Amino acid sequence: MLTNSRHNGVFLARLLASAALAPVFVSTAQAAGVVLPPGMHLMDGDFVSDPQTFEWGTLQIKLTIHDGAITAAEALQMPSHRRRSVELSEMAKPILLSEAVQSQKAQVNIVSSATLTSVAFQNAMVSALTKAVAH
Amino acid sequence: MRETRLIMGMPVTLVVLDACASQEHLDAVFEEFVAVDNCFSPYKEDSEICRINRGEIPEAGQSPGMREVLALCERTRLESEGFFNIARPDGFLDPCGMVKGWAIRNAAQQLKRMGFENFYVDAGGDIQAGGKNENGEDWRVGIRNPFDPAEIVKVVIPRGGGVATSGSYVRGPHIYNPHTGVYGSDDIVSLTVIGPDVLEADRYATAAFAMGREGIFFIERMAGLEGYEIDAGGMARMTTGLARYLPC
Repeated sequence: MLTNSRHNGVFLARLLASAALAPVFVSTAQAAGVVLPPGMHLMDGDFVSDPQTFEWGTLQIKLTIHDGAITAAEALQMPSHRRRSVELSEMAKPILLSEAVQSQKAQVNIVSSATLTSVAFQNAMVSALTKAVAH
Repeated sequence: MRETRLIMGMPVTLVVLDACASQEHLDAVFEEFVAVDNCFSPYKEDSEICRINRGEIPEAGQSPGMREVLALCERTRLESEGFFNIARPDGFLDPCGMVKGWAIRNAAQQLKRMGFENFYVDAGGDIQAGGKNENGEDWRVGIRNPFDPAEIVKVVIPRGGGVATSGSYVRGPHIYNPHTGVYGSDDIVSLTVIGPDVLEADRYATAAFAMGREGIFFIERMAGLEGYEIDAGGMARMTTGLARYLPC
């Protein structure tokens, strides 16, 4: 019996925060990359995280555990970004140049990208794993 | 010198080209990132932010860094008409959306104080570069294709400025447009902002992304900021001044 699930959640959160999750996509590969500490066992089955609310919406994931290992991760809810629009003043909007995105072959030194769902993803993982911990 | 470490759950890369750079210099900068994580992590029960959220630290007892970050959060909340908000529905204050850009800017300032000129700091895809690259040219930053992480879709040259990208990289459902007869989507999947430094770029990218379709116009109205937005249909829009950051 898990007597202190909050404590366990914090422990898992630390574990996940230190794990090599460079999350751009929520994927099974990411979830499977989580290394469990010795002595912690997961029950087989599907475990759904509590919904995690962050800046742009809600993330909820389902983990599938088989033979004690994470074999699948699925996003049940993902932020959709359909927001109330900003109430703009009466001024007319400028016309902005648009283009279809195209792969560039140019050499670059650094790549800029978003990692935003990572914290919510980690929280969702913690939530689902906490439910999967065998007691 | 070049090194990547995982801090705050994301890869942090330091590249310093100046010949006098040593491992001790990089260690010192990484130590600052770890100190920031220890202070602001919502996962660490003894972090200052968790203690503040538990009511254990009065406002007067906050560290200078915490005070600076919380003040920046409040300023950004007001500037963005509430779209940038660190208060979660459960009342927990989580300034993570500000901390990354702040930490990168601090690291770049630290490198400059050490006397370095040619470097960049990249934490989770947000970037502050200084000086020139190994070929003596301006640093070139690619914007990742939100639909294929192996590709870039745009090259920008920030020339001492900072670059930050907000996004979800989740493809939303397509929407049928009865006026054009084609399927499109209202969802913005990626918004890159170039600003005077990475802190400015990051906080406005976060705020503007939360505005959805209006975000690029918000950036357009802000002096000193330029933006490049990509929607779920694969169309990009850019602010009118972006051209000065594009390669010729």
